[in-house]
Amino acid sequence: MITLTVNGQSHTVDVDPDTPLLWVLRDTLGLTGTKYGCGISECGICSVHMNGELVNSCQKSIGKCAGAEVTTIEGLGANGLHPIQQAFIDENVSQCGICIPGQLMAAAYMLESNPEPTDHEIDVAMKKNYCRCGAYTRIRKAIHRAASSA
Amino acid sequence: MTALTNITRRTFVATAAAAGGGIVFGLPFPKAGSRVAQAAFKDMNYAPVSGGAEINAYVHVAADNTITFGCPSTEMGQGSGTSLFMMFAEEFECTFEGAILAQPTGRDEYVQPLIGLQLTGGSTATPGFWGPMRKAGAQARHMMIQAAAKQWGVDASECSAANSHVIGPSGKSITYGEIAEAAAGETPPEEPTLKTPAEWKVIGKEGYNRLDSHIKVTGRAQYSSDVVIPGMVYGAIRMAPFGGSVKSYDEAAAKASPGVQDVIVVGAAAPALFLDNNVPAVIVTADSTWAAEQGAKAAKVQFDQPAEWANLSDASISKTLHDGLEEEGSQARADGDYGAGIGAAADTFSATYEVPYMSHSPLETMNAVADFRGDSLECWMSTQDPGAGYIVAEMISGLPKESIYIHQTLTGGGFGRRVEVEYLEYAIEASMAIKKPIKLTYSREEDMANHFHRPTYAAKMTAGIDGDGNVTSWQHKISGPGIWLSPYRSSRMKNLFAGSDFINGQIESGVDFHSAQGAKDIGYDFENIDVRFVQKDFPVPIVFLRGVGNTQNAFFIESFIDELADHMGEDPYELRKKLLHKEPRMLATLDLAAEKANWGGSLPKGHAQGIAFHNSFDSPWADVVTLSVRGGKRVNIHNIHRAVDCGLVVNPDQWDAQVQAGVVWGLAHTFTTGHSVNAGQLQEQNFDTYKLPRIGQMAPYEVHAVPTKNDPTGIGEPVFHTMAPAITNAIFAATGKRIRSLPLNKHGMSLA
Repeated sequence: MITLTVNGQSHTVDVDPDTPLLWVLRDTLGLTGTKYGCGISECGICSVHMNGELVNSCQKSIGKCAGAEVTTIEGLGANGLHPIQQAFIDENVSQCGICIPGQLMAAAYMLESNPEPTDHEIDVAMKKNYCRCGAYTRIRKAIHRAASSA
Repeated sequence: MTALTNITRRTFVATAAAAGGGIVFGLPFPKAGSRVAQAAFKDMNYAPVSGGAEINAYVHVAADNTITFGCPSTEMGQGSGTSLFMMFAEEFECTFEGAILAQPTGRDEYVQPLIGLQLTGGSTATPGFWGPMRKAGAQARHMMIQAAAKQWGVDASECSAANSHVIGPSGKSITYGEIAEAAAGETPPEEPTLKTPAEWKVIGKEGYNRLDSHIKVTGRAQYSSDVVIPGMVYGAIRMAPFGGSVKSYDEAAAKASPGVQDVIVVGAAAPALFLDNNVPAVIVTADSTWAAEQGAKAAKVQFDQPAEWANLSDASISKTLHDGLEEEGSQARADGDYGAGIGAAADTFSATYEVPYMSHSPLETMNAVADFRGDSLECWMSTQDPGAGYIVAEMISGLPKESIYIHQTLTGGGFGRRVEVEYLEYAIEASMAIKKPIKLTYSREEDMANHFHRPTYAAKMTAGIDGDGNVTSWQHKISGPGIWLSPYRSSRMKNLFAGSDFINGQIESGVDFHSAQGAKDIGYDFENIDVRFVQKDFPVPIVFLRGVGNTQNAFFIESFIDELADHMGEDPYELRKKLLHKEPRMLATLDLAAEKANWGGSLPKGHAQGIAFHNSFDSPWADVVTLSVRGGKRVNIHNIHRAVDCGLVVNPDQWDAQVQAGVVWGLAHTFTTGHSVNAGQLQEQNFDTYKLPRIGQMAPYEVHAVPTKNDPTGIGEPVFHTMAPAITNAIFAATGKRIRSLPLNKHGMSLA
C-alpha cells in the first residue's frame, strides 16, 4: 500500500511497487490526461510535476512515490486555466493533442523559475518533449504569450 | 429502440462515472433512419446538452442553443473538425464559439465521397466535403427557417437566420434551440442556393479557433487509449512477423506475473478474406496496462519467422531493389518514343536513389477497446478508418452491422498508419475469447518495429539531352514493394475495392498506383517520357504514409533535376522553370517560392540555397531552403520559403499549422526517420534510436499562398515531400556533396 497526493487529493494504492507512476495515474486512478508514448523517457508526453520537479512519470516506480506530491495536467488549471493553457488555446497550438499535456507540464515548470524565457531557454527547457504533428513554432509563441500575460 | 442503443446509453453513463466525470468523445449518432428525441450527439466538453434535436446527420441543436457538429472526417490533428464546421456554419448561420465537435460513425452521410468509405486520408477531407458540408448547412438553415415561419404563420421568404436565431417579420426572433424539435421534422430543399464567395463571413477568414483546444489543454480530451469501461481488462500484445506463427510461450510464467489474468492467441485463424498474411499474436490480459506488459515479457513469446526474413538486411534489400532497376518493369506512362529519344540524344545522364522503410510513429500507439456481448459489439478506437472498422467488426464478430457501434475517439496522430485497423481486429477477437471488454495497447516497440511502414524504394533516373541543350527524354524507373500489389500488407483495402477498375488496372498493368504516384503524373514537360515500376517484395508490412508515393518520388525527381541542371551547367530554378512552361499553376508556385527567397541573390558566407518543386493532390508546392554546413556534418537551416497553391484556403490558421507540420515532418524524413534492417529485424524500435526533431531543431519558415479562386485541393498530404530534396540540394550547393539516399544520419550528418 502506497499513499501519495495527486492534485491535492490523497490516494492509497495497492499495486506492484515496480509499477511506473504513469500507469498508476492512468489505470488505477483514472487520470488519463497523462499519456504513454515510449516508456523510456524519450518523448516527454508523460511529464508531471512531483515534489516540485518535472519528471517523466514512466520512469518513477510507484514504490518510490510514497508521500509524494504529484500534479498532473488535470490539476494544472485547478483554479481556472493556467496562463500557459490559455496561451495554448489562443495560439491554436494543439494538433492531435496527445503531447499537449506533457508540453504544458514542462512549460509551466519552466515558467515557475523563468517567467520571461528567451527562445533558446525555451528550446532547452522543452527539449525532452516531442510533438510528432510538428507544432514547435507555436509552442514557442504560446510560451512567450503566457510569459507576457503573467 | 434497439438493444444496442440501450447498451450504448448505459455504457456511456457508466463510462462517464468510471473516468472521473469524463465522457467519451465521439458518442453515437443514432443509426440512419432513427430519430431520438434526446440528445443524440453527446457532449465532449461536459457541458449539459439536453433537449433540442438532431437536424441532419451533421448537426444537433440543444434546447439551450448549443451546437454540436458531427464531423464526418477524423480529427487527427489536421484541423478538419474545425474547417469542416466552418463550411457548415457558413451556411447554417450558427454561432461558431462554443460549438462542440463530435465524430459520429456508421451512417451513409459520413462516407467520404472521394473514397467511398468513412475514411480520412488522401487529403480528401476538405475537397471531398467542400460541397456536401455547405449544402447540408444550408439545408439545416432552411429547416430552421421553415419551422419558425410555420410557428409564426408567416412565409419562409419573410424570415432569415443569423447567430443561431431565426429572424422573422416585425422583430420576431427565436433561437435555433427553441425551434429545433419542430425543425427536425421539416423537409429541406434538395438543392439550396449556396452563398457566393463575396457573401462569406467564415470561410477563408481569420479568427476561427480550433473547436478541440480546450479539452486538449486540460487533459480531458479522450483518445481510445484513455477509454475505461466497466469490467474492462488491459491487454498487451506480441505480434508475429508477417507470415510467421507463434512457436511457443510460457503461459504459467505469464500468469505468475502480478495482476495477469489470461494468455490467448489471436489472429491465427483470421479470415483469409481480409489478410493475405495472418499475423498471429499473443495477448496477455491483466488489471493494468503495465501488469499486462510485464506478463507479456514473462511469457517469452517465440515466433517461427518465415525463411525469407532470416537474412533480410539493408544490404540484401538494397541489392534486390537495384537488381529490380535492371529489369524492364511495367510501364506506368509512355509519352512519345523514349527509346528513340534516348538513342538520338546528344548527351545522356543518369543517377540512382534510395529511401528506407519509415514508420509513422504517431505518439499515441495503436490501441482499441472492444466489448463483445454475444448479441452486440461496441468498440472505441483512435482511427482514420471507422469504415474499415465496421467491416472487420462484422467479419470477426459475425454480427450484423446494426448490432455494432464503433466510437471514433480523438486520434493521437494518424499519418496514414491508422487507415489500417488490425488493432481493432485483435481487440475484438480477444474480447470474444475472454468474454470481457478489453483495452489493447501496443507498446512503442510493438508499434514501431512490428507493423506497417512506408515502403523502401530505389529509383534510376535517366535523361536525354539534345544538341541544343533541351532535355527531351526522361525515364523514371522505380523498384520496391508496391502497397497494392504486395502480399506483405493487410489486403483489407485491396479486398474492399476488389473487382474495381482501380484494382484490376493495377493487377493488369503491374503498376502499383502509389509506387508511381508523383512519377507518372510528373508536371515537367519532356517530349519522351517513360515511367516504369518493378515490384520487389520483402516481408515487412507496408501501408500508406502521409504523401504516400510522393514521399519517395519527389525526392528522386527533384534530386535528379538538380543533378541534371548541374550537369548541364544550368541554374536549378531556371531549368525547372523551363520544364514547367505549360503548367501555369505550377510555374506560379515555383516562381513565388524563388521570388520570396530571393533565389540567386547574395547570401552570407557559407550559406547556400536549394530548391525543390512537386505537384501532388492537385496542390503544387515549392520549397527554397537556405542552410550552411559545419565541418561537413552539422546542417544549420537558416530559413525555408514555402509556396503552395492548394486552392481556396478554408481556415488560414490551420493551413499555416499544416505547413508548419510539414517542416517538422520534412526535417524528420530528411535527417532521421528511416529504418535499418538486420537479420530480419527492424533495428530501430523506440525513440532512442528512431529520433524525431526536437523543438530546438525547428527551422524558421515563411509560407506563401499562390492567390487563387479555385476550389480547395489537398494540404495535409503534400506538406513535406519537397523538404528533403530542397535540403539535400542545398547541401550540394554548400558542400559539393550529393546525397542520393535518406535519411542523412546514415551519412553521418545531423541537424544543428
